[in-house]
Amino acid sequence: MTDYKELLVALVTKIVDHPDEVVVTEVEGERAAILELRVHESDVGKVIGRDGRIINALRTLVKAAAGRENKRITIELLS
Amino acid sequence: MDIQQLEVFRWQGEDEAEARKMAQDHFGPLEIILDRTDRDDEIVFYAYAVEQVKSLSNQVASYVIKLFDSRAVISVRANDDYSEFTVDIRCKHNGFLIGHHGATLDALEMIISVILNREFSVNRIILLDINGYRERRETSLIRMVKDIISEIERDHKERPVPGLLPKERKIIHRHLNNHPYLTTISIGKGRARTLYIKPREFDSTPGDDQSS
Repeated sequence: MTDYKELLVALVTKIVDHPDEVVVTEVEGERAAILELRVHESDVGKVIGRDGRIINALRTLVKAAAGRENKRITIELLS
Repeated sequence: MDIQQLEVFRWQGEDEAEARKMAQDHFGPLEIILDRTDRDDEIVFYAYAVEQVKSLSNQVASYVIKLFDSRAVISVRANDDYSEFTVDIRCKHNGFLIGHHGATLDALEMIISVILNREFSVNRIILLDINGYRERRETSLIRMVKDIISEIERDHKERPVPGLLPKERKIIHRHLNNHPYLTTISIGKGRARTLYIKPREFDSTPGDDQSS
């Protein structure tokens, strides 16, 4: 299975208009690792979705993938 | 992996029959889907070949699903008017892709739907199923509701059904929609949103509704 960080990049690049500007950085947090997601300014809304549905779906999928490696992950969208 | 672009035939005008004829000429013997958009007083028809839409749906679903399970087998079917496309996944270990109460499956469905709908002029409903999970879950929910109904019929008191996902609440709302004695209501927000089954004599609380 794809690594959870690569997974996030692979999914987000297919959702946005500027795939070249998708950057994911992993930062170690106290309780869980944080995946900092940066996208082009005009793509922020696309990644969040109505009522946060898309970002929540991404969180569910990345957490599922990370869970297989016994890792706790959160995603932070930075604009 | 690059996902192929969907071939689109665009025709501006008001005559749907003419648009269909032109689109059919463009796609030849292929069966087509014709969408109408009406924006800023401008009517535009968009046509796609059904087989190409199925092929694209398969590519997008494969792209996403195979990030999780490289051995999954994917097929796509459509309903009669092509407003709904269902992606069926067959795989050996489905628990991981389904998740708790289908949460992972719903998230996969959402992402695949978003990627695919970028290609269409009108949003299509994309459904995702894995080894027949959706039907099994619906059967199990309806069985659970039947037990709850029996309890309510004994004491005429409402019952909460907590811990359901929006899609699961929708199934129960739909199932009891025309029930002569019972009604359903969802109260609360986010994860705390809870469905209640109650006798029709009780009026609903203002501000709450049947939206899942």
